[in-house]
Amino acid sequence: MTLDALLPLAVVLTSLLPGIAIFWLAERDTRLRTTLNLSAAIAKLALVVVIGRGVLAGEIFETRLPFVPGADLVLRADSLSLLFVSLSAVLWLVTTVYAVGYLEGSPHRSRFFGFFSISVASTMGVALAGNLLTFFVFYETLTLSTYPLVVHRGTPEAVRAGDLYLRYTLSGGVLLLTGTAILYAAAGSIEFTAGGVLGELAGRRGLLIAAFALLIAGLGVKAALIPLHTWLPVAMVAPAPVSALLHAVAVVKAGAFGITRVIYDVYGIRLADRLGVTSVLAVVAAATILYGSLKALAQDDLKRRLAYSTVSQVSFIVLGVTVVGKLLTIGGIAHLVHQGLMKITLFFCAGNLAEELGIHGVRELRGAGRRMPLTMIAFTLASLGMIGIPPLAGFVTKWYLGAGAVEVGSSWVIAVLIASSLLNAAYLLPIVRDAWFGEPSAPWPARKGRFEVGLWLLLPTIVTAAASVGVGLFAATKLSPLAMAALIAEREIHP
Amino acid sequence: MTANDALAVAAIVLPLAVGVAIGIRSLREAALAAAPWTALPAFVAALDGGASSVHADALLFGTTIGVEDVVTRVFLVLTATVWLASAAYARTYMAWDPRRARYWVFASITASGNIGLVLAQDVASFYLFYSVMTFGAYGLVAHVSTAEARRAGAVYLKMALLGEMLLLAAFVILVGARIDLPLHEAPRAVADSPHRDLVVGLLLAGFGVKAGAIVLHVWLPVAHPAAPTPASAALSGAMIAAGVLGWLRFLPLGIVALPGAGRICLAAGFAAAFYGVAVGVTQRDPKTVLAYSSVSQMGFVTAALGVALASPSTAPLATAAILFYVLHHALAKAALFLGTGIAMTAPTGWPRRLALAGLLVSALDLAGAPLSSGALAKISLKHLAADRGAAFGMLLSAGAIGSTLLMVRVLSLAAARRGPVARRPLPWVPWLLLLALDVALLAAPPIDRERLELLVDPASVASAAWPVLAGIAIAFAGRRLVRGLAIPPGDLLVVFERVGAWLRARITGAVRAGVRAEDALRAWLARRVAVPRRRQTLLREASRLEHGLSGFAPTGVALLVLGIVLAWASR
Repeated sequence: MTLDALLPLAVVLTSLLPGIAIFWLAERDTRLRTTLNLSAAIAKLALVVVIGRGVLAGEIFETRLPFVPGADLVLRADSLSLLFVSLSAVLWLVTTVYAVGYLEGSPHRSRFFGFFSISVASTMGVALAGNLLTFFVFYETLTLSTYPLVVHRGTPEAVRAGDLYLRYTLSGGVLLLTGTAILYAAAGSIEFTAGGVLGELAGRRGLLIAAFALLIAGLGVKAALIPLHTWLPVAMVAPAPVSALLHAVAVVKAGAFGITRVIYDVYGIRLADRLGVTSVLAVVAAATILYGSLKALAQDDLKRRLAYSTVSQVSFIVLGVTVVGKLLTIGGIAHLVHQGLMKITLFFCAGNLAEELGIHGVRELRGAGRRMPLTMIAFTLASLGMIGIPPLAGFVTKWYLGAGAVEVGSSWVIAVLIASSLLNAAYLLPIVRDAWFGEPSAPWPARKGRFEVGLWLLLPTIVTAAASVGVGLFAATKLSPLAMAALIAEREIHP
Repeated sequence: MTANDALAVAAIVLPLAVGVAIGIRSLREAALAAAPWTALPAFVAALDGGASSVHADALLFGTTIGVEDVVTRVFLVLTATVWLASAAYARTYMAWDPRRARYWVFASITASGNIGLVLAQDVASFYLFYSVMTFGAYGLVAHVSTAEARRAGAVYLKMALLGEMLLLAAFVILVGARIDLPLHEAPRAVADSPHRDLVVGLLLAGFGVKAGAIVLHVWLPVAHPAAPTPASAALSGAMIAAGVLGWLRFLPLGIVALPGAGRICLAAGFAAAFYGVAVGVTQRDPKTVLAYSSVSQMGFVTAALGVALASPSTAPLATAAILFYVLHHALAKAALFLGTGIAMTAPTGWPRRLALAGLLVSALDLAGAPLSSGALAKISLKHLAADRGAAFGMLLSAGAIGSTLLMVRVLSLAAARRGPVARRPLPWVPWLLLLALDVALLAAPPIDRERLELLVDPASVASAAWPVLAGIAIAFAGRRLVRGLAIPPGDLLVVFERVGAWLRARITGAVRAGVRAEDALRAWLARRVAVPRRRQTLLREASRLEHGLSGFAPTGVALLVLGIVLAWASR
């Protein structure tokens, strides 16, 4: 086995091994733990850069380990996994910094960071999985490793949320496994292949549709498609960095990414389209987009509002990948990154506001812009991005989804885009307005340090906010998420 | 990159950079000092007259800005001039405002967007700058922290979002498979689009929100007066014109005949022209009257657009007439806003008389009195209608009477004002300079130069004079009539707000119903799949089973032995 072949495995191990090691660290070994965390995150980033250079040049890295008879454990870096791996690696580093600042001085940090690293390892596994079985394995470890993060605070509410979370995600896992098993029984090992691998089963319509329904239902739980979304807002009791990671990369994205894989690399978009399953899924996605936004409008708790916004936004990815069309594919896949950057920014901001000013409700932000200008600038940019105002990340997505819909004659998508933009504006802009133009009802607590909020919390917020501007403003550059998505669409989906 | 190119880039980047720098504590003082002059590069680029074109591959989907045609140049002149005058005025006007830093941040960003959208040469960048302007201007409308300003801000934002979304829909349909569509190909793309009528409708309505087209105008009489005076001038002078620029940039003028859309524009335009007057004369705040005057004036522009849409052969003429009209209106309206601000606060005696005299000059100009640039603008419009029968000309003259009525109203309101006198220096210089520039515009108009001699033609002097005189006469005759009338600013807005409240109640109701359904579902699931309760039952059952089985232990052992024996035997 060459060194290249070990690279994908190394990407997973760079967070798995530190994660395991952290469990053995004493609670007070803050410095060692932080060093370990950050150096692992940076090492992973370096690995991703190495892989990225190769993948962009057309190479494919693959680690193949014997697992069960008839199916190997395969980790493979193609361009689609590269996109998700890069997003996870970057946001892991940022979120680790944030989490270190956020949890400073709180109990059970070794447990937290241990599971945190393992859930990142699982996300990496999900991203790099080369066949359906491998995907399933990491998908399940992701569920199990994020559970302790959700219940981290140990309050009755957190435990209840954790129960609900497990019930939903494990049931989803069962459905996914059943679907996987059916396909393996019918077609042997399901390696992810551009254009799909089920061509010879095209005659067995019923089986394919049943398996598709099972797979999507299993993945839809994490991707928070209605009516499987109700766990997500409840899981908001988790600490801010966890919510940020759950919503931006790890859990919700794993679901959306899985759906992308199933449609493009298991069934193949053409087969899926012929089966008629994509149109059903597109309708579900559109309904989720609108329903999530409407529900967000009704929330008074900031984090819950953001959670429903996630329900809505993630379905843009699903919508983009289910409707056939190159520009739609590009828009959907790019949104995988765009939504991640914007949403993580919003959650960081929510965390900052809660930490520094004790703000949890959307009506408590009056005048917050003067007390925490950088945080609120980040919040404003991310909000405008969510609405789809140029030149921010969300605009690029909407431009491509809209143009793509016209290209293939599915103009109804535009109506969904517009309606969702208006709803996004309705639930995000009042917050922004109050923050800048409102007057606080009582004077804010004085600054604790030199900055508006601890530097460990402020820096990640600024970085991700800048990134959500950057990926939109510089969308035409070679390494932008948009360019990557275009490359993926070119190489693997619409050759 | 040539010097002109650098100037074009600076025209956009400088205001933006200054706006950002105000936010940085250590740079704030320097940036605030520079803020009033950030429109200078745009102004120089406009006067300089050189062509420029800058392409940035990396930005957005590949961005191009530059000055290439006469449309860009005229709009650059008016945008830069109005923003420069507004900013120089604000330098004095806002000096005592405790929130002036916030004002300058938003003013700079809005100016950058407004200048940028003029210079943009591709669809995506146009939309980018247009949005920057739209959202930046919210900060201007909502700047004063009064209840009216808050309401104005809310109304502005809703209408602005509506406009943005209509445009987004239009643009994505338009760009289809060509993500980086250049602006100069946009009219052709509209003409060739399979969804042509839809796109034209979206464009008319989307830009119509900015340009104050009738029914979509409701935010304008509320928002323009709510902003601080220099911002009102920029909003009513430059920003309103951005809507017209959008029409000129995108609509397939001169390419295809769209008689239906043309008729709609003609009807909507004249309706706005007279409706604006009718509601405007009942207003009590001179700034609101001025806003209604803008609605009315843009009505003429819309009507001219209708002519061009309906018959492609008139398009070049109509475009030229619209360009001059918009240019004239921007400068005159900005001067009127700035002048009103001075006249309302000027002390008694000669400064007050000077203020009112200056106001009179721009009022006459806007009304189209003989030998003014307003008259020239109206001559151009009339010329366009030469072959469309007498009706068009009559309507234009009637419109001029209306303009006069509004101007008389503004002047009488400003003159009657006995408010508190400002003890601070007033921004006389920027206002008088703008006034001078507006007059000088006549000496060297960037377009329609050939019509200059028509201006001194006795026939056109007469045709310009009578509506003004008639307007003044009617105003005096009917001044008692309006005294009892009071239509709330924003007129139809009241209806819109009612409908909006009703809709919101319905949507909230639906969402609540959804929440209840979801709760019910969750409760049902909990009852059905009540794991803890079931678990208890299950465990109880299991232990009972086990208990029961334990009674059979000897039998079990016997069976096991039997099994082993049999297995051994069968080998």
